Amino acid sequence: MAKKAISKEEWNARLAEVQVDRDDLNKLIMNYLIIEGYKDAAEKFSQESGAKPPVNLESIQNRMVVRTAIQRGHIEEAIERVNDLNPEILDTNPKLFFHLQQQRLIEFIREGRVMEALEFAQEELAPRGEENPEFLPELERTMSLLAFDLNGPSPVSDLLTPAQRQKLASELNSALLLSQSQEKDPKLPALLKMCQWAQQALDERCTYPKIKDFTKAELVMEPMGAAVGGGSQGSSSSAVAGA
Amino acid sequence: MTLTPHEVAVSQLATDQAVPLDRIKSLRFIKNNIIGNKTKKDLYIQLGIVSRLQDIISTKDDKDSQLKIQAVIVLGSFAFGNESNILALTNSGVVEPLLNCLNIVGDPKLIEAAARTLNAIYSSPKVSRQQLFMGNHLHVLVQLLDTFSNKHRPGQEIIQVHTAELVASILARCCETLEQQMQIADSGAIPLLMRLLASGVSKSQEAALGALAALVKDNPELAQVIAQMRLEKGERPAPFILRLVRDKSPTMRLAAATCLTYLNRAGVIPEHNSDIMLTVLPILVKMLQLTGSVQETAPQVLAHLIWESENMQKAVCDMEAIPKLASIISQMDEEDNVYGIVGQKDKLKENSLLALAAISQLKEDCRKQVIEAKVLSHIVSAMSHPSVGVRAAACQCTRSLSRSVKNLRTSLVDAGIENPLFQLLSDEDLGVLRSATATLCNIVLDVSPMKKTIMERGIVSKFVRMISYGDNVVRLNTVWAIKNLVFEAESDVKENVMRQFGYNNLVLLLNDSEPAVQEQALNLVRNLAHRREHDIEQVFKGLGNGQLLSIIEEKLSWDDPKLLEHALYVLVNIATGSEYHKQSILKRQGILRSVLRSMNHESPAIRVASIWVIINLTWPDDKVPDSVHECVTLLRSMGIEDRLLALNADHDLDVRDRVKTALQHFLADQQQYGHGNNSNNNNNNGVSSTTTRAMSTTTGMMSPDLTGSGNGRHSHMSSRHHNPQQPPQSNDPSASSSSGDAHGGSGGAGSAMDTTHIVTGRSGAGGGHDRR
Repeated sequence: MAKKAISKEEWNARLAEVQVDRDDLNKLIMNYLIIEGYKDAAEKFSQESGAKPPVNLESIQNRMVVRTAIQRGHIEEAIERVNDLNPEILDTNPKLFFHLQQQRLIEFIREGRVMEALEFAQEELAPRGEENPEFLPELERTMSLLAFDLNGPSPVSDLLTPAQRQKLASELNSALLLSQSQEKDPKLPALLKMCQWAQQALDERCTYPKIKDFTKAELVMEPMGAAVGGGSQGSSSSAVAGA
Repeated sequence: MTLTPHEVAVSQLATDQAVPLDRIKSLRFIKNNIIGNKTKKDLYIQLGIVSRLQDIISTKDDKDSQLKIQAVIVLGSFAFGNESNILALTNSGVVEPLLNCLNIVGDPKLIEAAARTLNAIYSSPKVSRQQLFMGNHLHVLVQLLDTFSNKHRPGQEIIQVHTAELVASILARCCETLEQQMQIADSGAIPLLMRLLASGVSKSQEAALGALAALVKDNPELAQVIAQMRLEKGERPAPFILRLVRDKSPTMRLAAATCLTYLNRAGVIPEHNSDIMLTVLPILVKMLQLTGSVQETAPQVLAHLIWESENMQKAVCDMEAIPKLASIISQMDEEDNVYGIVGQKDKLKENSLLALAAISQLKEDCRKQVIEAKVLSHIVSAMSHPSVGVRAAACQCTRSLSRSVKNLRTSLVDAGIENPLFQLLSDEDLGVLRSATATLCNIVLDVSPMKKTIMERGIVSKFVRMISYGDNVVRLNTVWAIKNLVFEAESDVKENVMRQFGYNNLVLLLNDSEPAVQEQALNLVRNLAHRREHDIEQVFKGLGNGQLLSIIEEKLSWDDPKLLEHALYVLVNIATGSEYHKQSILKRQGILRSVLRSMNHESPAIRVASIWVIINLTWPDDKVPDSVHECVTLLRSMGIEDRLLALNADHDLDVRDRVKTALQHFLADQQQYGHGNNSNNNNNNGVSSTTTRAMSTTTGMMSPDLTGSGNGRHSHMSSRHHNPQQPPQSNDPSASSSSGDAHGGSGGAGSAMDTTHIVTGRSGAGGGHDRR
């Protein structure tokens, strides 16, 4: 079946009919800044655009302090902060609490504090494993760090990477957001994913001026019959540097 | 001996020991130690920290709330431990000072912390709710729900919204009785909850749904009020909540589905029936495959939603819910074996069993699926589970399954249900006992091979203990079971049962405070005094001279139509007895007058029953023709024949049929003795000369109304007509042909007549609709 072709002029005319509310745009940007933790930017943006932040901006700051603490390996400090913000979170989320304690253990091992690591594992982690047997495999894996050379390659070396801290930081950030009735993911990446998916679906039926690079948002007309090249898959861009 | 840091921290909490700042520091140290850590919580409670905290939060000094806040947070963390922690707190009396912290002009952080701690404390059903309803507390709580008015301090919005969520959750947990529901409604909470519901803040919406669900649960009045309200944009709550059923968050979906379930059960949203079927049911079934608290609660909500609804049970069955539930249950048993940890997922097991019980409650197809899902062995082993809730739920399952004749004959026997069931009849828990006695009603049916063995185990002596148990439902189920046990039984079985049970106990039941129990006790008499003169004589003797008829005379004077009907059928049965039995009735003017009065009763069933009494009393008997004639004369003199003639024009066909038979007896008498009145009318009766039969009735079969909700009592009788004067009595086909389904079967005495042998006309078994 021949694909229908839509010219750039026709496409532009159609796009011109679509109304986008400025307020909506501002809200989307605000949403992104808040969830990703750009407190100062959100504050400035609020002043200049008049978009009201849906949450107290202090709460962003608090989340970011927690995130930074985790990324620096200061797990105890992060726990104390979370407990100050909402003491319910770690009492009602055994998995998250276990992951925090696990990270403390990892940090002990990283610093070569073996005796403390063993004592900590015995006193703090083993009981959690007894309460929730599904934690046991992860606990065993962490403990096996002690058996390997920390600087050499090992099957558990991933536990020592920054990504491990990053993962925990995100988990904690999500829990904090949820406790404040906020979505844990910003809306913009979801919109971009949706847009990409829509283009792919449309590719099967017609040729039209499409956006190949979202950062440029240029409409590019593909030659008839050319192979359809999808854009890079789902760039969720959720990794964010600490405050 | 050196103190541990924990002991040091506790000792520093004493008022005279440390400067406030050190105390706050100690509290923070303790807080960060115990949050998330059950072992440390236990440790600190053993160190006696609770009374220290109690002192701190009880001081009137409001200058610096930091100390109080930290103490309240620590208390809250203890409450997130386990139930014994919570009880350790409440036994020290922390609830009242915590409620006092909810001071609308106080520090919002303190209010939030206190609300959080109270909410955690009220998660235990064992904690008394009484204090919350005393004094001004409820009023203050409701004020805290109001996050909308402008009187609040800026910068505290998050805390205020969170506080309102906690308060809504507290209200949901303190809304268990009708009285509590009404008090909360009267306090003005509902409009504020509606605003929270429409606030768009997800946690607030979930909390509001929880509170609204608790308010409308089993409360049609409040359900109606809430269903008729309008949200801010003029929308009714139900369609709004229906959208939340499709929310991204599973907890929101569950909260919305729960609320709709209760509204639906209250019958206030009939316009959404198809939404419930097409949207809510599939969403609940899908939740079975999630994890955590949603998976745990969803089957319970599902069970509640489909209870007593054949359509919904069928629909859920078609959605493959049974294999899903079966795999949850069997997988859990395997995991228990692997980890050796019992008790973690009891609630999930209990709720999954409840859902299975609900799905298989009414439809034989669904029961078949349960059997085919190979989950029965797990159900039977769950009957001996350490958790009370699991035992009760498992028993509920066997109860649903035992409503199938096929299962009674095979699967349930093979699975070995009898042993654990017998054990459960001695269970200490009321819920278990209720389900177990209800299941028993079906197990002792004729069709069940377990009837014999369970009698040999001495079931009757258990009955005696059970009727003295102070619970109406257990007593009702017990009478029901005995009634089923002697249904169509041989004389020696009846005698054996009554020898062990004792006629004195029967008298107690006949005069029970609960009309439903009286009703079944009358049914029991009906089944005992059935079929054989000998059996009737046993009841006469057993109850003592004349007492049987005195009791019946008294019941006939009652206004309760069900009691009246059953009492009349006892007379019907007695009137098939010997000459002596008939005469005993005829000597009682009071009884005869009641029968006459009942012939004009508004209920056709009662008119039919009373005419049956007349038919059987006037039954032609060649051996004692004179006494039949005397009887006819007596009844005629009371105006019964006139009453019968008037009933010739009754709008009920069954009544007219019975009237014909009765008048035939009067006509026969007139033809033989030639001095009747109304002779001119008799020709119009159209009475054929075929012989009809006297009728004796029994009642039995299938399980009674189980539960204490007070709804859905079903009268329930099966009747049999036979002619004791005309041996030989042949088989009695109706006993085993009865429907396996406990429900269904219409009432009314059957009218099939047979000219040669025994006639059977079964009216079907009723009953069985029950609610948890």
